[in-house]
Amino acid sequence: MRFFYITLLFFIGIPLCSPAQNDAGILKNNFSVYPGLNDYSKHLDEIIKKNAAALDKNIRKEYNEIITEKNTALLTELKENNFLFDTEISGYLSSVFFHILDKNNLNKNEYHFFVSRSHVINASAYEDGTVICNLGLLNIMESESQVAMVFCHEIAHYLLNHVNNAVVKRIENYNSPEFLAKVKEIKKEKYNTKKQLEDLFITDLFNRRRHNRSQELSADSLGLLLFSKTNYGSTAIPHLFDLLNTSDSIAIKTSIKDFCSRENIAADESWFTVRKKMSFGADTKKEIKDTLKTHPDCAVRKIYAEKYFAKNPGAGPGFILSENTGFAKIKQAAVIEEARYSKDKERLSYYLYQLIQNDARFAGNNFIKQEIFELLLGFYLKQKNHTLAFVIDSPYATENANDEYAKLLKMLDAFDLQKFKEVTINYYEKNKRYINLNSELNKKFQELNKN
Amino acid sequence: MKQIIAIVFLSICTLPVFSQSATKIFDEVKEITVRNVGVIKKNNEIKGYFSFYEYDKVDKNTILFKLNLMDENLNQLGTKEIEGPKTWELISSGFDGNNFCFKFFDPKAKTFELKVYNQEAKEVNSSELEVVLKDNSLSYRMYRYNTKVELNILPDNGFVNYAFDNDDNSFSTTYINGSPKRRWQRVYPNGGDFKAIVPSFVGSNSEMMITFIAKVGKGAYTTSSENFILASSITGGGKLFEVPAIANGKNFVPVNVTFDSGKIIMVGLNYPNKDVLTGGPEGLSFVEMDFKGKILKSESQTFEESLGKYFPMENKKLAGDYLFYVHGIEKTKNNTYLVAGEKFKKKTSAGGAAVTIMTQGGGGFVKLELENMIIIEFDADGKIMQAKEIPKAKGYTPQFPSFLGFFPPYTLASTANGLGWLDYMYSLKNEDRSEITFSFLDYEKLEEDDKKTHNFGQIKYKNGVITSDKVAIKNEKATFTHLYPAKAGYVLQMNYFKKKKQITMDFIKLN
Repeated sequence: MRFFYITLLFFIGIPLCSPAQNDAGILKNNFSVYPGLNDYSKHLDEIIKKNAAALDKNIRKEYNEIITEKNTALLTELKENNFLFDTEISGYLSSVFFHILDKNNLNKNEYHFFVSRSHVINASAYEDGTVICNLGLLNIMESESQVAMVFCHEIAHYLLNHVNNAVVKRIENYNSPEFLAKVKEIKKEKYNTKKQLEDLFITDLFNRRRHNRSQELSADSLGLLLFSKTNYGSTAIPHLFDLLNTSDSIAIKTSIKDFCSRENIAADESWFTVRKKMSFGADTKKEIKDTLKTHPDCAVRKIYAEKYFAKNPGAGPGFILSENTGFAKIKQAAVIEEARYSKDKERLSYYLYQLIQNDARFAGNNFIKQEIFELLLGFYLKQKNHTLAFVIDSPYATENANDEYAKLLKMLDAFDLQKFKEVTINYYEKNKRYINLNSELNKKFQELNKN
Repeated sequence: MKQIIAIVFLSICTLPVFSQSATKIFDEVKEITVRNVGVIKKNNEIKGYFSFYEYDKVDKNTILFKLNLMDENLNQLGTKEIEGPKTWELISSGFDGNNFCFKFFDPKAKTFELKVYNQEAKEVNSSELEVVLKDNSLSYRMYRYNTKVELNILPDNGFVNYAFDNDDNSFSTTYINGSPKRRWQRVYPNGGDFKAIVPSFVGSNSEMMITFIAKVGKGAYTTSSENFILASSITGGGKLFEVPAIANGKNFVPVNVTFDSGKIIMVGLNYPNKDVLTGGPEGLSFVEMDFKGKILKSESQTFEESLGKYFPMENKKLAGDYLFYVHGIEKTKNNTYLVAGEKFKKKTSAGGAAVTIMTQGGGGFVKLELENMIIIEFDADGKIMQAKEIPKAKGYTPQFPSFLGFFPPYTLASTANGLGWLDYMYSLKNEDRSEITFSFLDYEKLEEDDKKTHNFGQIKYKNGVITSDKVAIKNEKATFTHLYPAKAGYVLQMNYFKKKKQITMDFIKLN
């Protein structure tokens, strides 16, 4: 809990809309280790005890095991540099989160808010009051009010006890006399036992997904009520669901073909051509796909929000704790930081993809140019040692003509050592005014030039 | 071709046929026994991988299997549930560009079955062959061996399988494709004149398929054969032409065929006599035929004439008494031909010599000494454009049984190749043939501190340039490591960790 007070203290001294101070948008203070880890761990222990005490004795052990496993995973993630504890991005997002709690008179001590460095467009809530916002979410947000609406939705999940109820319901179902009788009956049989068990669990999965979707609508409903009290304007909220629906294309700022053309990379047209995918199995029927969805359609949610705001119009601003330009700079810092996260995790093909996109976002940025060059040089050296495949993702076939990452992977897959060399040298020659060849880098570059 | 040559030789010499079956447990499916794992090819292009595993018992005699397919990058394509007999095995698979074909074998019922699935995993065609041969017959041994032989794939046009399933000491051809009614079966007649008739698939276009046929004469020790090139209609299997496999007066064994402007263009090995199954080739031939089997143009040259311009030769052999074993011939995007082979020579150990004298028999303990790989690029007229010797550590095959000692070196090399004793592994190409690779094993120490010396080597032809690269196959923690062919330029290394009950599959990109 101490973390929130620390971050709030930062807000008092630092303007909330303060942009990243260097050209590259690199965060200056990136506290990778959560300072309140011990207190948070104690909090999780207390919550698990409290929630377990309210349950039937028969399912307590199983409940404890499931939640402890989740808590352990979460604490491990917190220790392993997966979350952001800086003054700018997480400070700003925390301020939005706590503004919502404040305006709704909710007990701040019940909540923990973390910013994950992941690029995946998502936010999530846990049964213990932990709410996580991924950096990737910021990529598609156009206003602070939209961010606030997402947080309201997650807080609503907690207030409605959705996660805890789902876990308990699942355990209760698996321990119910009806379910146990069915399993016993199947086990008695000599043949087709696995098939029957699989069918039983698939039915359960369908039921759970159906239940999840109804929970999402409830969270939207309560989320809108919470949002109404935050003083944010509602104008941009229905459009939030359009953004969520088209999130994949919003994040693309340039095509790989354009990048090749800009950087004088001799490209093969087949890298950018979408072909029919080889498959083995019929495409899943629409009704089954719909049944397996965890969330209702964005279009449905948008209509619901529009109807709500038609009855309860909110005339407030789109920005309260920041302003448009400040928000844009926070977003800039976020895309750089989520790219750095890919680098930390050694997912280097995705890092290159993010750098290429960021290069298109922030033209002439020294840091980005330098990183692309170092990455290409590193790819050459790794390829020389036959270790490149360990740090780049495997290509995948897609029929989505807008999947630029698939095209990049196809291109990297086609590159041999000679091509990596040629591309690295070309890139350096074209961008050397941005690139600082320090002695170590120079040594590596000389090695490439020599071979 | 090589596998068929090997089995004929083995059958003649009454050696047992070696079989290898593997049962593997994957981490993700601890309770499931994997029957077969393999690659899905479209000719020499890797399109993906399959695993075939037992999933559930349907009744006393039937198992519910799952057939899981992945693409060439190991991305999941889908899983199909198939019911089949307990003893079922998935022997071979292929993709013709539209449909998948799987070859199942049931050793208990002595049947094998070809099943064709479309890309929706729906069975669209099948063909079953029941064998009526006696267990101890030569034909049955040849049949058993050939159930292991890979399916032949006709690009975008179906699949062909040869089988020794009749008592005529001949073979049958089964053709099947993705249209429910498009399948046929033809038995090649023997007429009792030959002790065996051995087919070898050469290639196809949309109308015809070319098969090389060697008819082995009767007589206990006869290995020489009458050799023919058979063109069959893909529509119904009817004979379009069958001509003696002779070019420039030499016996000709085609290895690669392409079709161009009404011509059939073949490249293959030429032999000084009819013993093409166990004898040694003398050189290469480039033959053009019309669609009636008439030779329009042919060019033959001995290895001495061709290799001799690039490598030192002594007594018609490569320096050091080495012979050249041709492993593969591939046509490139530039309409040139790549011929890849391995240097070898027959070696008799000192103990072997003593045994030979004492037993007054021929041969003694004989093995083959294996040396460097050789790759040559020819133009369409048979003129060498470039040739390279790719170094690899000198190694030896296991010893052959003493009674094989008197066989000529090429016969032993063919046998060793059939048994997987030579260092060459396989050749692969990408779709437009701009990149072709020949893979081999090598036992050279790549690094000083290497404990084991087990390397994967690859010769790569890309846009006219030949390069080679090697990578050490090592994962000290793995219980065992196995290599699978992968997409052009890569090798797939599977590591099994017994304690962790885990399998890892790693793509390694070669330079």
